[in-house]
Amino acid sequence: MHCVDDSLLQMLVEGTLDQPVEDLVRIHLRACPECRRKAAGYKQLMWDLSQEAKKETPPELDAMHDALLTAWKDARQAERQRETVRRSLVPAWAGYSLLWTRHAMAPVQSMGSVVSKLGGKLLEQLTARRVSRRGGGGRR
Amino acid sequence: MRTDDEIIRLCQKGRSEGFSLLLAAYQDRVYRRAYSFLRNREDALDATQDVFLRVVQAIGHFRTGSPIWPWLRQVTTNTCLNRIRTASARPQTVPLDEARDQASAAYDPESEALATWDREWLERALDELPPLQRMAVVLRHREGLSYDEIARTMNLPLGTVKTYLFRARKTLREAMEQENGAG
Repeated sequence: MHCVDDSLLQMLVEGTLDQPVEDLVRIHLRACPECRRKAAGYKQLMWDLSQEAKKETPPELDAMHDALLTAWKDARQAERQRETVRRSLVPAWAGYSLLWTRHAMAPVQSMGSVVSKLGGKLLEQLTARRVSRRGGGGRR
Repeated sequence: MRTDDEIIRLCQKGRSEGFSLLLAAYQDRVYRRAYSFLRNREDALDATQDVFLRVVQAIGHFRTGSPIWPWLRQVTTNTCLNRIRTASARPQTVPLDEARDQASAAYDPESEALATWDREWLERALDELPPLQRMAVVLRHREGLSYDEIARTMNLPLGTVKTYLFRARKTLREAMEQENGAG
């Protein structure tokens, strides 16, 4: 008679075996004291493992509580300082970007006005030509 | 007693009271879990401090409405995993075989009752497990996580987690039999 693998015994105790396999393992256990003993051992072990002993916590945790609270306050203080700096930088950045826009865009604007002036003149000429052509056609 | 949500909201408003409540509620638990992973008082204290220093930085991003412990457990597990990996070259404590040698071989295989299992001895046997196997056992049997959850928490393949648990429990059962036989 072949004994059941330990992994199957563990799964049986955990209740994670598929039903047909569990039935086969249980049939084997009825006939095999060695596997029954192992399965009982796993059952006991898993129960013991789930019972965590309530250990005394070390007194250093109290001092650590205070040190961590100080670290927390320092971190929040640093965060507030960063926020203050960020807020003061926003208007400065906005002013700078406005200034930059005016200076950097000045040539573009002047070029734009030249283009629009040229375009205006061209449009005037074209309109004048069309008008004169229509006028000419009308006279014929 | 404040709820997790209230504690988180106070922390996110930058109130020291919130962080103090968080420490009061979870510092011991984080220490105990770190100790169960690392099996060393000083290492567990250091890990506890590291965990809460990370919390100081990250609490602003924590989603309210979620329980705090799963997050703290994940941070604790990651912190301890880093310590285990960096300390893997460190010499281990007394090997389990040595403890087993003290037990006689007079175990009665017919006996199904293993009632004399000494809990302190179980803790010592856990000390001797390889750290990653021990971590998987703690997450399974003390935190009640599923195999999938353990795999995600430890960032390991599911098959590896199953192997760790199988081997660890086999080692512990055999050690338990030896101990009971010796008793």
